[in-house]
Amino acid sequence: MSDKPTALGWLVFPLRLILGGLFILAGYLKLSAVPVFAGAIVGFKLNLPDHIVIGSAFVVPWVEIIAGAMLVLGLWTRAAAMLIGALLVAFIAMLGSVIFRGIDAHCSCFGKFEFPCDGPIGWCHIIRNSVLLGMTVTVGAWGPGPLAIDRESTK
Amino acid sequence: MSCSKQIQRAATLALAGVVVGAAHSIIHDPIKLRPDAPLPMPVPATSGGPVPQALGLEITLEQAWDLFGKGTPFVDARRPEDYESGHIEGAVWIAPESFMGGLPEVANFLDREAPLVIYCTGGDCDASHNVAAMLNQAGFKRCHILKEGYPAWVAAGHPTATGKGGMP
Repeated sequence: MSDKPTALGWLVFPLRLILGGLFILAGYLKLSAVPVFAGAIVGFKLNLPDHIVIGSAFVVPWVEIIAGAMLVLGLWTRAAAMLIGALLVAFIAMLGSVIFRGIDAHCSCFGKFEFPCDGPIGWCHIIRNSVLLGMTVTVGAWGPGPLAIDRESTK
Repeated sequence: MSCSKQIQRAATLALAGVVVGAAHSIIHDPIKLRPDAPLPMPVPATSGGPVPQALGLEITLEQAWDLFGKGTPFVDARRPEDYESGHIEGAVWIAPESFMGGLPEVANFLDREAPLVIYCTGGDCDASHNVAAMLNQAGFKRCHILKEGYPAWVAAGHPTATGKGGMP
């Protein structure tokens, strides 16, 4: 990779910051009310044992925060994008399963801020996560872009 | 850099999340996923009549109507727009998301030792159970859930109200 960022690199740069920031925010909002997020997971009716539900309610937000912070810093960018991509694929599959089974459940993906998707889980949530997945794939494929620790460390 | 190296790094980040999450769960207060069975109401020592039947966690419409007549507070756990368009008369709105910043303020006006009836839309709706579990955790020991939910209350012709009266 050359030291000078390309025009496309500068286009990817805001995507990396937005994605990272969104995942830090999503993790923080979930951690600010872990019982609410745990209750939301129960509402998905996946018949998971309680210890898995409670464990996921703590682990998922921390994975989001760590991966989001790595994206913002531009450190291990592709790996962080890969992890966020895997999370998003899992979220989309779970949301699809909730819609397919006709369950009236709340996402709690961004705490009480579900912009632009109001109300119970629906196609809006799937589309929103698919857009985020598209952004994640772009960042993962292109790399950190400018102003990234990854770039500094390879100089 | 090779793909396997990236996968290895992604797994390292995921593992870090698991470790931090596990540590956080240890220092966090225990989380209750399901509400406890409510404590029975104490029977006054001077009471000479029949001992009242203890109510379970889930109560019927008739039992809820009886409690309504005794002035028991009702909690609406549905979405805010549903509450606004119609709710049980006098009910306050406390949905799962009301706990995002801790115990909702309105809960401080409710008696922790007295019965409380929580409802949502009945059927598959989990919100009343989630709210009951979180209120349990906050020390409310006599939470009852109107299993049939708001639709059954409306169908029975019991009193309802509209607007944001019981919302923060």
